[in-house]
Amino acid sequence: MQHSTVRHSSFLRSALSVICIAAISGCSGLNTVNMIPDNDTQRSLQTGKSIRAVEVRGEQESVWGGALYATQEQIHAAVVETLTRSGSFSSVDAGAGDLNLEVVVRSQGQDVGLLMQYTGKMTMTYRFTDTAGNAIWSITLESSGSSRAFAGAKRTTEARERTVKANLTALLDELNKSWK
Amino acid sequence: MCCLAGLLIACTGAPPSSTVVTHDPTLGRSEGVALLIDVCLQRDGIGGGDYFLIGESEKGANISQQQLRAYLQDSGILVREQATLICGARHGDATQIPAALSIGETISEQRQPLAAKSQLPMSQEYAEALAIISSYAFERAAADDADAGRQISESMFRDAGSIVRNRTNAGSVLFLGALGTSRSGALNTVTGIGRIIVGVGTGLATAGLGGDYYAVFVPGSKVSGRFYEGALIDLETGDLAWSNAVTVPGNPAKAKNWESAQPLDLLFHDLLFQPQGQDLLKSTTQE
Repeated sequence: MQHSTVRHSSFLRSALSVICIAAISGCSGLNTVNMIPDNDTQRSLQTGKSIRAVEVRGEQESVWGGALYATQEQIHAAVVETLTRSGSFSSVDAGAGDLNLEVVVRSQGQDVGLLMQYTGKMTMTYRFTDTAGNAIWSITLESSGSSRAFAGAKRTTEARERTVKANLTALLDELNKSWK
Repeated sequence: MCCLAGLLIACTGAPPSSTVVTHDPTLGRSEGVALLIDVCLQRDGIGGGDYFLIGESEKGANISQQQLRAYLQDSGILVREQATLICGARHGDATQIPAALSIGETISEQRQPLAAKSQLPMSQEYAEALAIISSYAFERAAADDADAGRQISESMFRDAGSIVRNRTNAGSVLFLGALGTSRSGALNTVTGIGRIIVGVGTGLATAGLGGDYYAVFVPGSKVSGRFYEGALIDLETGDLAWSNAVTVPGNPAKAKNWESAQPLDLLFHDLLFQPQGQDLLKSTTQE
């Protein structure tokens, strides 16, 4: 009986160790590929315009062991790739064109919910201007994305990537709806 | 445990969502907004001798003002005036409080507000009106059981609002108040950032800071870090339309502790990013 208790306790310790290691390890770092919206054939906007530059401002610093936030560079790459793939603009961030796009990261956060679900939150303002700086089109979008991946690092990574993706998907939808 | 692990792996989480957001209509009026910032930092040493810090409060106020202005401008909100008070809010019968230019400097009894500045020309009447608005915002954010400590009546508040409206022509006042205690090392404690009580509503003052608003000024107070109070005053109706509060850890006498914009985001997020329309995402799938 005593032997069984020791074995049981040892198993519990091992199991807990595995869970702890998983909770703090796993895939870390965001992959911008996972932030790009899926192709949607219903989106057919053709602006006939080129975006000279995409500028990203605002950032929330990630803390080691805490929530993972998208950096300006990652958001920039995701926005450029998203708009390029959309085909709505002749060129994006190529140094020449009719428009500029300013992306302001207003806030990033993360909540912890039931069953350790991480939910990323993000608010971004997109502002298109002409070369004289006049506002052409702007919108502020708030998005969220969740993950219940086993490993903590993967959970925060997935939640953040899905949050950015949701924001960019909404950007494409809104551009298709109201761009004139 | 295995079941729990299996469940964690199996579930992918809630579907993503996205919404168009915009600021409260009160902030979008063509008359624009007057920004009012009131910062009051207290030095809490071992064995008494507490006093208020002018220089450190000014540094905090300046950083907050820049952050808040940028925050509003990114939302396309017209900022018509920005005013700063140092210890403008009244917190007792005394109109004079012990203050020093900085930590360790000469302490003297000084009249509140310890300093006042604005883009528009400052006058005694204007400074007093701003101080009344600040006091009112803090007092109404305090819990009901702190009623006895209230000094600003509704009529005083409305009169002050009229003075500010006539001076600025703004449609509303966005108020940011920060009360902080800089404790000597031996007393310092760290607590988590967070909302005390979120108060969002129209026409009604909301609970938020509780008795701690008063406690922060009590010598030997155990309160550490900063209390932020945010409020929106509608100058057309004369009402306190909205208020909210957050606490932030860290020594407020250190300028770097003011640099994070997270407290302002927590404080004003619901006011500046209100959902418009329905959930935008048609798809609920996740890979």
